[in-house]
Amino acid sequence: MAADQAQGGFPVDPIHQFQIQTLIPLDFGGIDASFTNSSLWMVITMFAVTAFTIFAMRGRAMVPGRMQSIVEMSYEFVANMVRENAGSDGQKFFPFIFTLFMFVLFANLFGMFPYAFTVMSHIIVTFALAMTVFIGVTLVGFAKNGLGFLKLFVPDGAPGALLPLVVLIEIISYLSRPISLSVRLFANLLAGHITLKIFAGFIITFVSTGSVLGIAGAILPMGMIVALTALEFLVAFLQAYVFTVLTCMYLSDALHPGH
Amino acid sequence: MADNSDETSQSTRLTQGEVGALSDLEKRIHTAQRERHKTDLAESQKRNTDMGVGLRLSTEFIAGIIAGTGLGWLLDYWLGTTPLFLILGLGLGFAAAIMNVLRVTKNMGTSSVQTDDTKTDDTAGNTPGATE
Repeated sequence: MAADQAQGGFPVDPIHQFQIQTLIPLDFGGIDASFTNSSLWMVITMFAVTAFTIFAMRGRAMVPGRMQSIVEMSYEFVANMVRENAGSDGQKFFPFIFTLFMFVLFANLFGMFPYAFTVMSHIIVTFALAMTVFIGVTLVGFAKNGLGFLKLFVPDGAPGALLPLVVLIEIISYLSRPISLSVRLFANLLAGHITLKIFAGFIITFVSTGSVLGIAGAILPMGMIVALTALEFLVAFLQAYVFTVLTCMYLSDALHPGH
Repeated sequence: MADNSDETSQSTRLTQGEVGALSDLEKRIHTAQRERHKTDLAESQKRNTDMGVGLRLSTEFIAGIIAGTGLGWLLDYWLGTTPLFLILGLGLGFAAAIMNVLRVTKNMGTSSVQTDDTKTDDTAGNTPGATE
């Protein structure tokens, strides 16, 4: 054990990657609205999605090329998702759902680049997205069904005496949706990226022992990083997918509150 | 629609043997599709890792408690009845959390049952299990 070398603590700060750095300070009447590295990566994500979809579809070929078929596949993927989870009348909201999916997916994938900032690893970002979905879906529910939307909170076959309690619990359950939606996305990405950095730190600790055994031992965390990176790519996609599927399900609840 | 009627008018001109061969082909395509769908589903279920399920359930649970307790705390904050609604909210939030978890696990149970008969179109391959 080379405890004396590692005495200065862990060689890598696994949280450092999530630090917000102000790039252009902005101040609107005491509200700090600075343009940060997080904003920068959101803007990059937005431009990348737009550029990707527009340029890839520029040819509008009957037989799609490589890029065009990627865009067509993602279009069909989201369209099927909306149709199956929100029903055919949910198709009206396809543009929003597609934008949401592409934004989260691209933000997550950009986060996999070294030195890039993972936008979705901050709970305020995912919570803002989840609240947008939550408020939007609630408004849609009331606009579509009027007060009939409140039927969502009254389960079938509840005995009369227990009804107020059950309705209260249902309302709390409904209010917990944006929390679980945002926490899931944020926690998955945060945990994954921290794990990667910690295993990277293990390599440095191993190698800094200087012994042959230590350098040979560094292969173990290295292999772990390779495996985890693959897993992180899966998580990046899966979490974008889960976020949008749940949005579709909430939308379906808003459109058909009866069941 | 137009394609469909075209096809039927064409098939009337076919001989008996050809019709038999076609329906045989159709059957084979259907079984192949079903097989493919099954493997897709199995794959998506495999992707549904234990850690994913655990995370899913724990977030649902924690979210319910946070929502209930937060609501109670807010009511206390407004009405100045400090511990009352916080405690009530914690209890109700706990109930809501259990309900959230039950709702998720119920869907997990059905997703393995409705493997082949409910959704036969090949698009269903990416739905149920992968909801992590």
